[in-house]
Amino acid sequence: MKYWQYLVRRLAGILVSLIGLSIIIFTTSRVLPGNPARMALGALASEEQVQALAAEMGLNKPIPLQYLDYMRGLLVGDLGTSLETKRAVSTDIVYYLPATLELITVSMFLTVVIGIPLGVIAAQNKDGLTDNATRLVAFFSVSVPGFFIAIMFQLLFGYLLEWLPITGRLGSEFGSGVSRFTGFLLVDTLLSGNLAAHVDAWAHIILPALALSLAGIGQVMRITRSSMIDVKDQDYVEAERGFGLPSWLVTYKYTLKNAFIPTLTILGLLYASLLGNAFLIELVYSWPGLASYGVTAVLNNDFNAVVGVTMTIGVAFVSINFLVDVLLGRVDPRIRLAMEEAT
Amino acid sequence: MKLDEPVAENPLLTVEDLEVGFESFDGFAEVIDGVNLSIGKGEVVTIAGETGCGKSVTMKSILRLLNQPPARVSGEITFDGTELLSLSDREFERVKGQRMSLVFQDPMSSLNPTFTIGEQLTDTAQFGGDSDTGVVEFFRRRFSGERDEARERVLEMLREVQMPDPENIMDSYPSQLSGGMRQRALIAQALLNEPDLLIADEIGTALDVTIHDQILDLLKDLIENHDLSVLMITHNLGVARQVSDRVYVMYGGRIVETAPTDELFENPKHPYTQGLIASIPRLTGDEMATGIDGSIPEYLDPPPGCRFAPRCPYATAECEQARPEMYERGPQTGVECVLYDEAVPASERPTVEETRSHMTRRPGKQKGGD
Repeated sequence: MKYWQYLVRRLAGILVSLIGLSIIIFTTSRVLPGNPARMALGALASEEQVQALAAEMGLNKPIPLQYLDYMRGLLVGDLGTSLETKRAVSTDIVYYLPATLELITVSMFLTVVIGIPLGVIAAQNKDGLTDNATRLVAFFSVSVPGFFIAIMFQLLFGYLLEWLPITGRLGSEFGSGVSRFTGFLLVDTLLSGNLAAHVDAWAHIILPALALSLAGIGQVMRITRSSMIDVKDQDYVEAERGFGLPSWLVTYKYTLKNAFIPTLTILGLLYASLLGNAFLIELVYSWPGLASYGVTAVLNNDFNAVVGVTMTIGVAFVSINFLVDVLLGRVDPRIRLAMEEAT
Repeated sequence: MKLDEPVAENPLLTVEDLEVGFESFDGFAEVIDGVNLSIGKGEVVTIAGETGCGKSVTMKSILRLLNQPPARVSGEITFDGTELLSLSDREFERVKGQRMSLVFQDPMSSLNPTFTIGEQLTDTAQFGGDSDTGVVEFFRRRFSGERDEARERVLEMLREVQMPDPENIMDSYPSQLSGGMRQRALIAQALLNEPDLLIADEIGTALDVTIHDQILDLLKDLIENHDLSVLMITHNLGVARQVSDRVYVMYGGRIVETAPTDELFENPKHPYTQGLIASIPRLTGDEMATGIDGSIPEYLDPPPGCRFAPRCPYATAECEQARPEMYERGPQTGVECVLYDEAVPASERPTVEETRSHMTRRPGKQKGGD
């Protein structure tokens, strides 16, 4: 079996698990107590009005039929209407998702560029001062909750030092100068040719992204450190040193690529978990993201929005895992070859 | 008469009074205790001994592959007139990278699993021995015509080690190669930068016997064609006999006997060497020895005198108190055993058969069967 065939098979499996997820989420949202039509119309609406809306929303049909209706809509991109915002859920997701994805992507970027080098340096100074210092930082970053760090950052950099803004995605003065192309402000500001706004977007994202990434940095640093130490003792690394290759090349090319394999798995899991964990950070920084939208939807029993957000996160989760699988195959030929040999 | 080291004529590498110890939680383990050895230009020398006798530690201290601490290395290691132990790491890396090379013990684990053979070997050809290369310099050379030349050199070397279908092998990963092919790739890698001294640790032992034999034959040809001086490390006396000019027998961190290969096999002197030779399985004879009784010394608290004394059938009280001298018994031949003092009459020195008779034996193949 060729590697791409294996990937196609994985994709088919992913489709099945997404369908399973949709069934579970849909059913859960429908059997939860509380009448969505009543929630939508408010306490003052008459019983007839509520019944009429319920009929319009199809809430009187059996749940399997409702599910089929929902799936039919899903195929054309219709996720129903949010009871809270009165807009199509798909419109809301398209609006809120980029903010969260942008935040998470910057966090992941920070996790990688800070966590991995620190892990490598710690491994090279095993049990030395740097190693112990990074161990302390990792311990701290993993054990202190992200929202607490987020608030401390706001106090320190926003309130005391007044270096960085503490809420939102962009200063209000740039609101009109930036058109929406992708929803990613870091991209849109550039596409609009507004450099000042671009810098402002960075200033807004850096604190929440850092607060969100700290726990991941700690994990990635420790994993990278321990796998670097493992790989450093392998015969092939000793041999490469023995042949007089530059030591930075042995470390960053030959050792790190092997040590990166466990780190990559962790990164995939982190990315997915950040989608959920972003909520607290989004709350602290008034970040208009999908996580806070989703939580609001849950609290208000806005069932279309709940299903829509959960499905989006589910799709993101399996996509990231799939991507990690593809990357693992790229990094470690043994995985790729094992897949090709299987069956 | 005491043997004066070095015994090699025109030596390329000499090791004098090498001592290596390791700090551990249980105390200080004195592993290598005053090793002297030398390798002449163009000479193939083997260090033979059972697992745990210090062969690999000796090799690693020559190549500066031991982490210090916990290891402590002292003595003198001279390579072509340069004292190696006093060099800075940087200077040493240059000498090692450009003039020495090594083939590691296990072909299965000595190639990097995540890079193609071509990638690893071409990097070695291009940057091996240039440990000062910086990042910018690396990328400039990596993407220049020099890369293609290096690739050609690798291909040529793969052909020379009789690698089947070298073009294809260049794009393969180690996990796609057989053990013999990996061993060939490793030998090619070791020879890419035309070293003067090749250090081979248990070469081919992980392979099956026929492939092992092919590899040794190949190695013999390569040694001749490339005018190599070789230090082989092996626990297999057969390998020592097949390839080397001269043998050092090591026991408990000391060289106990040294002789030209033929002399060593025809006329082994040290009871330990005799025991090793007596343990080689034979196709003829009524019974065979199962090995030398006992086990290697505890390095945390080694025997105070001769380290072999606790296992030696001829040991006397004297052996247990003081380390014997290395007595010279012919050209390039020495043995560290009191039995070879001038004062001891030749008739009292043991033969291989006599040593065998002291060892645990089991019946060999019976004539005519049951």
